Amino acid sequence: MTAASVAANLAGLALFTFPGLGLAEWIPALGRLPLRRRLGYAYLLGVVAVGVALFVLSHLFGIPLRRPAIAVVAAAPAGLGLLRHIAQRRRGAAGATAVRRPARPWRIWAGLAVTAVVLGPLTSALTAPLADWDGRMTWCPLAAAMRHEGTVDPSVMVDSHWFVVNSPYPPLLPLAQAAVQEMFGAREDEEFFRALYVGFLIALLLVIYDGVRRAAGPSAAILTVLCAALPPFLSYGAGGATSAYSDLPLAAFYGAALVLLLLGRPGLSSAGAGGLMLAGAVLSKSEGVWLAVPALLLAAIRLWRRRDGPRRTTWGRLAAVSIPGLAAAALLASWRAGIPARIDVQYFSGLRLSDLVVNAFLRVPRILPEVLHWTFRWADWSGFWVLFLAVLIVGRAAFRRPGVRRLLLAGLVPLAIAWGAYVVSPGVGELIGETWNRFLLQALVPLALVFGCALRDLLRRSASKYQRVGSKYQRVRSSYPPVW
Amino acid sequence: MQWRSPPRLVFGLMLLYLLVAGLIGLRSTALRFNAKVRTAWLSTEALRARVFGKAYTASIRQIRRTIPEDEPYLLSTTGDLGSMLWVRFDLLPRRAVLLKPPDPPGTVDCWQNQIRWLVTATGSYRPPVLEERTARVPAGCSAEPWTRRAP
Repeated sequence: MTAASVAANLAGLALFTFPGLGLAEWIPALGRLPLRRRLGYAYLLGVVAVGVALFVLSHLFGIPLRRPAIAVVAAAPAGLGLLRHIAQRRRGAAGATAVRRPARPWRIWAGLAVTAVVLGPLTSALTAPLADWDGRMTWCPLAAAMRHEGTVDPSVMVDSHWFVVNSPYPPLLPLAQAAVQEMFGAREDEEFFRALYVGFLIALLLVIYDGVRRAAGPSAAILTVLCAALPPFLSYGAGGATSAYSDLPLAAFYGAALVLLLLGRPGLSSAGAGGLMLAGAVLSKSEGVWLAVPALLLAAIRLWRRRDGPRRTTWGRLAAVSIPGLAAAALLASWRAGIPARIDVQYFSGLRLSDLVVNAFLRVPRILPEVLHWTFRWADWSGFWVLFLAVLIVGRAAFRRPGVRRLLLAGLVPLAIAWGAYVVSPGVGELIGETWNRFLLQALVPLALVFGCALRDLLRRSASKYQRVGSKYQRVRSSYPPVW
Repeated sequence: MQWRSPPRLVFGLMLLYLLVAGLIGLRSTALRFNAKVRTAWLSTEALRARVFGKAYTASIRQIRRTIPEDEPYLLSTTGDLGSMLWVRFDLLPRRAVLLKPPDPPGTVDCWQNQIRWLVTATGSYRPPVLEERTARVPAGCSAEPWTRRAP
């Protein structure tokens, strides 16, 4: 890959990060975060904003997906955000930020280790051509068709004569790919979209860091991110950062929504930002809708229990959470309405409740060993889930907090969807091998947050032991945030 | 009485995990850097040839030169479905029509008869084969747009 190609890939990351940073300036729940904690959300927000804007312009108004449209869509939020940032600086709002304490050396080393590990998939994506299954089968062909015809409704999709696999899959990621390829003038075999997927891994890790920091403090946060960054599947697996699967983006959107909705200060802006992330999940992958609904329910429960003003305020927040997701679902339905059914995988099309109930028990001996095999497979996870279980068991006191139980529930949703698919699918063994790791990936952020909370409990127990002997470790305890 | 050993065990397990998985992660990064350095001077075409094989990439290049971007082709396979999807990806944005018998039997497929190129995937990393067919507009069918553009 040439230097120009590397530059185009990195510019592709900027194409979504800067609009996202611009939008974050207008969303107080994100704008007030320090840059390193805001960056992950900004990237995800940028993908949603640019992708949805291009989707609407092309699908509803017939505007071609060419450079002028892409440039305007990306530059507008970035410019508006810059203006707001300048205005706030002039008002002196930026000067009122908290005094930053220098980071401890071990945290800096841990951060450097995570960076070094993430550089691996980035380098790989910038070196080798795409060679994964779903990327070449589903997502990239749609992106190429969109770019070639300059529309989100290319003829290959709307005419059933053409050979297309999984045609009704949501188009946000292909659209983002097409935008990068078009914006930077990719020629045949040039894959300027590869860094886009590595960007989702970085965003996912930053979201985990921010989430655990909110729930369990900085020490647990950096340790959790360090542990979560290491499984090879996240970087090099079929569904990881070097592939062009949509599971990593879905995991990042779902996780970001959960952090903002379940760990953020209840308010209109965090509700709206969480809703936008759910919209991203809905438009990333078919399972997005299945994940968005429980996330909405969990957010609604939390908002209802923590209502602090007039009832109208709570309803306003609930509306802010749900409207972006509903709008995304409506847009997706409108897009799908023009696409005839072809060779499409429909796990739940032949679903009967009786099958589900009977097979849920009958298939346990078949499903469980396979699921355990893939969960603890060394080549994919390097023992991450062994550590996860050990931390959860020993730090189980964390489950006394309802917030942690809600996060665990959110983490179990993708796994429950997977189980449901295995219960009703004919080729279950093969299906588990192909998909279980990706469902674990989709559940990674909420499960990592639970891991972080349990770890906090362990750290506190260790720290309190040292405190009793009057050691210098007292400051470890004082750094914990209040239980939320 | 507080039970202290399990946290120590867990921290020990975590340390072991960070050491082993961390080393694996760093080694992976080093290997990718090494690969990047070794292939930095290669063109995209040469890199593809290294990954997918010379015969495969040469065949794809030849087919790309032959079939214009706006003209469709029929796609079939003598190998597995995967190899067909591989070839289809490499021929993008050319549109593929799956070669299949008329459905219901005995009817005329207006599209298939008007497509003059047939690409056959022969297996994973094996070169696909291109054939030129005689394209015609069957009786009762209207001419498709690409037939008017084709020389």
